Amino acid sequence: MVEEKNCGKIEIKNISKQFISKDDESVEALNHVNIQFEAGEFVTLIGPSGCGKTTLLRLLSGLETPTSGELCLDGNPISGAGHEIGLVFQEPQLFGWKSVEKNVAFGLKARGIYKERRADVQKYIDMVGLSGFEKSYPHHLSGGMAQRVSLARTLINHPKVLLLDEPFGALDSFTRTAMQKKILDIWEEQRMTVIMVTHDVDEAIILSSKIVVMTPRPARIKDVMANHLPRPRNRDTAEFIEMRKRVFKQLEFEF
Amino acid sequence: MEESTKALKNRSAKNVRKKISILMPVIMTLFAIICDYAFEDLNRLKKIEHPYFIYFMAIVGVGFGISGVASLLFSGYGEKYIPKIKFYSVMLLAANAANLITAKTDWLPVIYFPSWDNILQTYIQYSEILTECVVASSKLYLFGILYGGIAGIVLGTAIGWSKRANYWIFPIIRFIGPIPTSVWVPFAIFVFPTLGGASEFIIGLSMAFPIVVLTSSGIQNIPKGYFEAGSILGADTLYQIIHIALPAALPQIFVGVFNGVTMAFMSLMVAELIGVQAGIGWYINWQQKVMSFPDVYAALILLAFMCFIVMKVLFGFRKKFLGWQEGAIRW
Repeated sequence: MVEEKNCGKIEIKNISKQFISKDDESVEALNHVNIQFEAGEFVTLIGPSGCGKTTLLRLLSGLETPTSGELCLDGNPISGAGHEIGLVFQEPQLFGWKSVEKNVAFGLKARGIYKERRADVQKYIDMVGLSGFEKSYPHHLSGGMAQRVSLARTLINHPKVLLLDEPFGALDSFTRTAMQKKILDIWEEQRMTVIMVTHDVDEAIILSSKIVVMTPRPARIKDVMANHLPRPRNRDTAEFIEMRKRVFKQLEFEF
Repeated sequence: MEESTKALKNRSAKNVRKKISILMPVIMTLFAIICDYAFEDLNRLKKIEHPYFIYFMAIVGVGFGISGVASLLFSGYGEKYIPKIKFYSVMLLAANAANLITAKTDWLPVIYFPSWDNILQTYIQYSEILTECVVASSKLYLFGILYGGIAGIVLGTAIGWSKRANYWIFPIIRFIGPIPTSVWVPFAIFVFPTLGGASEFIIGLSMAFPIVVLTSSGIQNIPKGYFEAGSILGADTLYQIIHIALPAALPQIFVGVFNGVTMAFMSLMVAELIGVQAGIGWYINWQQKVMSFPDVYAALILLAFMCFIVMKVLFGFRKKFLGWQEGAIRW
């Protein structure tokens, strides 16, 4: 459960981010991005590669700092990585020398709250559907299972905001569909703010209530589309197909 | 009908062959004993009080006999023991040949090639002093590698983690590291208040250098993503160093420790030149000077045994702590 009600509001104020590449050239990853997400929203960021989606997530997580502009969580500027804003990477990045349960427990132990919240370890392992794999090691797990562990170990810290960077990109379509349902279940129960990057238009429509379309060069927000389709959502309904058409229209670019 | 009786005969022949082959090491020890009796000793070196070689082979033979029986009764033990039988048998044959050549012929200069009897006699006659030497060397070695190991890991972690530490310290390490240990002896004697301390310093130095290099390289090669994940999960810098950096770098650190303990053994001789009262290196030095080579070989064999035990312990640790690598590295 997110501890307090109505927290997890994200404000992105006029963010720009430049990287200096190897030949001393300045690469603009984000250009004056301005947007706000209310607490408890499920947002997807969609757009072609290189339009700054991952950079935006990394800025939100505190792993990077913007070249200009400000990011705020519940009114406070984001000043470094921490457990309140969780980030699930594209690669699971599990600690190979720790078992599944030790990976999931890592955040609790790092924050010194393992003793009180010990029981949560099993709860979150069960929540992502990995009961029975507590003692397994990462190299025993498939990609989908590893990604689920990564999810559990981030969720156990009760983040106010959950950032997901194409978490299901490397999975086969069956596992992906199952994981989409899992994420929805978890969100419907815990109602943290979720910001998810994806390439999959259907995934964006199934999951989110707000779809943010981004463009490359310059990397900025092209459009923000509200998604009010009633849940549970069905890919075969007319409204879904109509929504899909609208999103694809926005994604048309000249190459 | 004919086929199945043939198959049965083949299987029972195989069984008999298997049982004989398990006894092969015992047969080899008996063979060695018979050869020793059959030929006359030339006794070119010291007079041998007792037929030590025969006693030794008898004990070894009984040992292999028990192993053989155990391998038939316990299949788990059998799986480990049976593949090595060929090796043991050939080694025993070689020992037999060495005995014949060194004790029964004058083909090799007796000063440099004493017989097994001479070497075994040294163990019996000088058991007290040799025990004292083993104990003294073990203490020196173990303390040396302990201090060297800790210093190595701490320094290696600092260099691997902090750019500043890397900038100032690493070039110095790279410069002084390969300098041979014997060059350090005068420095050690000057700096350390006790000669024992100076000896431990020499051992510790040999242990530390490979560990510093491999620990720092191990830490620098850790994928950045691990630390990013750690930050997001709420770990502060110290927690990340202890719970992410060190475990992730452990395979490399282990290679460093393996190199370190080996180099430390090699510098045992140099360290004991400084002025210890007893020790394997000291003993070897002394016996070399008085040209008493049976004693030199006896001590060298003891040194090899000490090394063997250290390796066994080290690889035991590896199995326990690096088990998660699961055959990713095969050495």
